[in-house]
Amino acid sequence: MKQHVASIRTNVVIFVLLLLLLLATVGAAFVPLGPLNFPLAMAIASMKAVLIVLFFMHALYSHRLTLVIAIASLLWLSIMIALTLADYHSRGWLDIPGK
Amino acid sequence: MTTSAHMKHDPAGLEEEPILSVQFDNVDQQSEASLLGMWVFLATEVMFFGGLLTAFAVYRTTSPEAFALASRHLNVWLGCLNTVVLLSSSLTMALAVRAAQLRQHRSLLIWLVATGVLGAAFLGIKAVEYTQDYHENLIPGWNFQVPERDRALVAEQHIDARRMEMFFVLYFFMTGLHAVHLIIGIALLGVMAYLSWIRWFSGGGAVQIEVTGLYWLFVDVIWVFLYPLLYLIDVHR
Repeated sequence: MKQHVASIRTNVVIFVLLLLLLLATVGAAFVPLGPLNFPLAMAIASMKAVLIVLFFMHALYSHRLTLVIAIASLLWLSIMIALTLADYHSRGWLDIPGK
Repeated sequence: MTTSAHMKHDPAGLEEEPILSVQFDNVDQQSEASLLGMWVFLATEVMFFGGLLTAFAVYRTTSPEAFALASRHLNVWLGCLNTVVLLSSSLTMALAVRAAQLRQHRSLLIWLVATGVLGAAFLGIKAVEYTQDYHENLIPGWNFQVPERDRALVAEQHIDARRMEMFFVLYFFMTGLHAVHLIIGIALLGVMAYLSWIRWFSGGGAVQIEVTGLYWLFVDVIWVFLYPLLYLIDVHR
């Protein structure tokens, strides 16, 4: 059976990278960056997620369809969040007679 | 397939190929179907957590001050420790998958048990946090009170105390749902460790362990997002 076996070295390197990113996210949270704190925290979390998905979950070596499914789930999630936020934050922008 | 012939030379079955079910052309197609099925399930799990994430996005963007104030009552360092524990369990899970692929029976069992123990440690630390929240009167709908050190600020800046309570509603639902997934994961690991121990799987259980690993690592990915979302809101202030 053709199977990709990741070396122990790869696994440990990814683990160390994940710990460094955790340090970075905790460190960055204590630095006042104004509106940039949240996007930075999410960017670091996304980097960690990508490392786990590609290397620990073997998405890098799996059938291409797995990536299609993974990305599709994120696409639907972002549509849900974007449209819901657009709704909540645009309420009250227009005066609707009778409301 | 020469499974039965093969078995004679290899009583432990360590080199054995997976048994091919009739609906598949070959073992590669069979294992790809298993893995792809798990990924589709995980996509539905993204939607499951997605509802809570969306609710969190709406409340956090409409009342950022109340959320930042409430978030500071969580223990950043216990959360950080828990992230380290869970990331370590990711490593041990990945090593368990590797051991199964290489038919390393003994290390497979060790890594599976290690992963389960780390998962249980996470739940233990989480229980300590929940206990602290209880003693600080932060449980919504049960004993929630605006903590004393925040009362002046809440009155001064007209922060809605109910939105602070809503932060804890979302906190308990998001971490609670995550904890439920971990409990299921630990049970799964126990079953997989037992079945591997009695050599129940064909093909060394490589595909079955990898599918279990996908679930476990997905639950870790959820925590990777929950930690900054819940614990690290404007802690610099």
